[in-house]
Amino acid sequence: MKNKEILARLSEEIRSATPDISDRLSLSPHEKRTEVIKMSKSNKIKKWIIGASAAAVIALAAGIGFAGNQYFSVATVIGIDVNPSIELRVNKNDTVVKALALNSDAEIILDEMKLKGVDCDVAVNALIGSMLRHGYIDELKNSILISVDNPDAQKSAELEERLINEINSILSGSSVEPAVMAQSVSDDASIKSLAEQYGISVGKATLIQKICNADPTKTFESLAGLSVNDLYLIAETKSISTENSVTQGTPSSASYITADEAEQAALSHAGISSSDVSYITCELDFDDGIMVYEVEFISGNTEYEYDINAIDKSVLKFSTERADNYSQSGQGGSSGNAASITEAEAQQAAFSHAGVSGATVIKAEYDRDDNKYEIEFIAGNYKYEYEISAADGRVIESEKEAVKSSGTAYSVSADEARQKALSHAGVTDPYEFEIDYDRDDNKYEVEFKSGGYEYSYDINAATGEILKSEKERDD
Amino acid sequence: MFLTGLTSTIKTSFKPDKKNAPDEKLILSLAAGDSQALAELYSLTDSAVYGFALSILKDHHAAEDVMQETYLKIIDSAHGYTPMGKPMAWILTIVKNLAFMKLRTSKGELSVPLDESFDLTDSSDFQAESADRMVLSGVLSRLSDEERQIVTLFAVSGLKHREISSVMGIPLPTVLSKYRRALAKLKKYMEEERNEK
Repeated sequence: MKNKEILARLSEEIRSATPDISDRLSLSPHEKRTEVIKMSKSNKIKKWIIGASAAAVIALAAGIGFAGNQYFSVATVIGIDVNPSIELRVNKNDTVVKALALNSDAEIILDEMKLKGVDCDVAVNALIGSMLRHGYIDELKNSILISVDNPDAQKSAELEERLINEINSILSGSSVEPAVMAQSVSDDASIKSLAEQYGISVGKATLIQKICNADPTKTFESLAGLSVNDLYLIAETKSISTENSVTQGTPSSASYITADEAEQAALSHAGISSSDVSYITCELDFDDGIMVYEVEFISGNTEYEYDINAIDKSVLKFSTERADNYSQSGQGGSSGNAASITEAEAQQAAFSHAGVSGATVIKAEYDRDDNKYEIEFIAGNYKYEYEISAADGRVIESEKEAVKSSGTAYSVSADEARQKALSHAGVTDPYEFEIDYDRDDNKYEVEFKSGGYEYSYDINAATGEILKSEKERDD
Repeated sequence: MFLTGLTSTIKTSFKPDKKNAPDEKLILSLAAGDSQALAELYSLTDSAVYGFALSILKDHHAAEDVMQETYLKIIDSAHGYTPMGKPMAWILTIVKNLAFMKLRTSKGELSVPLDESFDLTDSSDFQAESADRMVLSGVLSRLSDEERQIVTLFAVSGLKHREISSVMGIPLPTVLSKYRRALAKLKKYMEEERNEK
């Protein structure tokens, strides 16, 4: 258990132990106010009823759980889907009237809780906390679907936002970066009957329906068995309309191979090198019962289509077709931010601008937001930093810095330092790799991430000795 | 990938923060007699107030009393509040003073064994009995007074070490070393507990 997790858990435990004394505050003789304040335990929303004593009586009664009609009537239904699917029925004060387990996983989660009479924020907090502890939410399965069914759109939106905040606050201390999709569900009888038929929640059914609408080749039946995380991944690659929904975070695709790997698998099967490809797309999809990457690319006059198994990289399907109308102009049209040139081309552009033929690249990163590559390399006694436009290979910025005046600056190359750090860490698949040369101390500072950890090394540039090594949980 | 774009815009507006910290304006509105400000302040600070009081008193009922006194004190003294950055630090200083006062006046009375005063199996005290309070019981049973208070403040208040040092009146390096020690002890405690199970 890491410090952050301990603190987050402590915070959650204290939170759940905190008594609700709000009624006592407003009734206390110290406070000579006529208003009665009904407080909610949430971070975000505050409810109050001011004035008339009649209203005060109702508010107070609700506060102490008076069994009035209004208290028990369901105003909103909140669905929470991870894999456990839980439905919370809450009254108009957002207090839970009933919590229902919609599948067997949900029964495990609900088994140990009494949520009746609890504010819905607190209930969601407790549920998410429990799912985290039971391993239903982790780095590989980080998606949470929240569905709010309330006729009042504004009220739904407000609840969605509150619950997203609640989920964030509880998961902020854990290593899981949640991907939350909050949607309003309408009172649609056909969706409800589909949900019932397949034994899934209305929220999940709504999301599946959206995917089916966007992609007519999909059937409700084929998707009904998928996890929320997979559904969310598919929804994301298909750019499903997010009308009536709020999304946050990215669903984890860590249990699948990356799009790059899928592309690589397709290219190597086709026997084509990536430099000969003029156009490539890669989309995660669910086909015939498994998660696949659909890779399409053009090389020469041929268009290739591949289905690559997203788990083991095997080629499931492929086809080739003569492409007549594709030319260079086929790219970039659909999306303004697509890298049109490859990393290798960007590097070449930087090298030729710098007038070097061979260099040790210490950083090459694609910056999606600005659609550019950041390339850093060492050649001779200089360190170069470049920003290359990914659209046309133009040099946006360049910097050249002497690394050491003497010719024998370092006997260990950046590549060797990189190798040293990786083999010490036992890591073969680093990402966000960065290596910096510190001139003052004549050392390399190497940083990278892998397998949920962040590594940091200092390597003596003269001897290759590891001066410092650090490994910590990446969160 | 428009979803990715959307995601990033939303991310900035929903940045997961350490509980929304109360704003100074809230105290000023409260001073102006705005009752809704109290409701808001309460909802933002209740677990910090209770948690810190509990960490000093080690007694659920006494902490609950101090919690109530704290909010009454806040209502009474909001008009005299001088803006100084973080209301949370101000509020927690009030908690500290009231809790230590209670500790002094009720010396002896509160020294019931922990198990009796804070019965972790008694669910009637709590509203959401979601899980055993393992970390909290470790905090209450294994840590020294200052370690307990520091680690609790760190977990619930959203204050930085430096601010905790000023609330507690303990030098920063001491806060840091006690914080580290406390977490090491907790880690060990959790492992022991886990192995027992």
